[in-house]
Amino acid sequence: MTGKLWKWGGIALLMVVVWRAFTTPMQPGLVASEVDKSLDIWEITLTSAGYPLDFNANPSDPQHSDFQLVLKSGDMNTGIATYCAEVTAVESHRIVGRFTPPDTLPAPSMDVYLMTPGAGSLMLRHAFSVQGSIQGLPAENCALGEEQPYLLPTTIPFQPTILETIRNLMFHVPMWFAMFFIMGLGFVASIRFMLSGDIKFDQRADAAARTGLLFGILGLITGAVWARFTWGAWWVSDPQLNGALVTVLVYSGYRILRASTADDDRVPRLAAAYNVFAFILLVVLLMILPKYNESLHPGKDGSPGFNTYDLDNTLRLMFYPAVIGWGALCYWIYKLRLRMIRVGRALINR
Amino acid sequence: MPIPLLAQATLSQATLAQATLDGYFFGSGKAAVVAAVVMVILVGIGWALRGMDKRLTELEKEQLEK
Repeated sequence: MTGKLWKWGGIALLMVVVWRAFTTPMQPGLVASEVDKSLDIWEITLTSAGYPLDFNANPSDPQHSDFQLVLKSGDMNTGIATYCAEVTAVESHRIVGRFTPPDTLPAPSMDVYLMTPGAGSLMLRHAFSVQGSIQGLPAENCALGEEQPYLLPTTIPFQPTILETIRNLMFHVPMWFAMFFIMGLGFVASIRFMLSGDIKFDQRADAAARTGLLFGILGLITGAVWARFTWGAWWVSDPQLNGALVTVLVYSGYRILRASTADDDRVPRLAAAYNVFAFILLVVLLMILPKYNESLHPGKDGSPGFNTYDLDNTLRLMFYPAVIGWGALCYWIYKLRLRMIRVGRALINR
Repeated sequence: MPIPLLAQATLSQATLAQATLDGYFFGSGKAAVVAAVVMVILVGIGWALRGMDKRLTELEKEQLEK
């Protein structure tokens, strides 16, 4: 009964994660801006993604005074020179502001802050830019309104580049974790085989390498799809990506080694030694080297880790069960593969 | 007299319930369809693994008997 519980528990956990990951809306965020400077009054149009902006707009307020659109240079709190635009239209994913062209602005490029009634402050960097002629001291200052309470239901965080694809976090990362876990089991099994010579440890290492390889390939595929959206290419020359590919190739080599000399009695010992080095290589290529090289991946040199500020509590509630769920599924496949190997060997020996 | 914060929140939640989640991902219930398809695939994987599990148990029993 317990045996079935963890297996189906893993599947059930993954189903809950999938449902929540795909049906939880994303926080609203600004993704694009367009400035029309052809008229006396300039118009700035901001496009958003995620939850609709107008969910809490007051329909009887044509001035949209509950929204505040501010052009600012520098940090939100300490930056200089705010310049307020009058919000003239609020739609589900579009907001329009109008303002009189200022005589001077503090910087050629300014960030736009949108204070919303209920969805917090949204910001778009370098949303407004001008030619150098009107740089100088700020023409106008405007006071920022009070921060309003955040009223949206459970949402996943808005990340400017990743956007809706952040949901892939529940697949891509736990698949690699599952691969690490199972390859670790194989590593321990190989060491125990070298110490004891007991063939059952060799079988465990073989099953672990096969299962880990499957999850490694799944991790590469989910990563390539994610990279295509966020970085614009299926594959980029990144230490983490190249390391992952080399790892998968190294473990493919392990499979080839086993398959090519299947009848040789020395194979288990050779394979065990190979597996130990393969795992050490995995740790070096995926965990150590990318940390000390510039990488597009979160948590590596030059880019902050998910845990630093991206992984909020809503994501944690999906991500950790996803890790357990994929881990359980991976372990189930490993156990089946191990039993297949044992049954196969018993049939050969008969 | 200003509306208390709790009342404001309640009012806004009511407005929120009417808000539609349109857009690329949620428009016309696309997200729910994607989630349902992935869940069906997961159940399929679980079912296939369970089938393998049962078959292996039978083979192991046969071997033990022999």
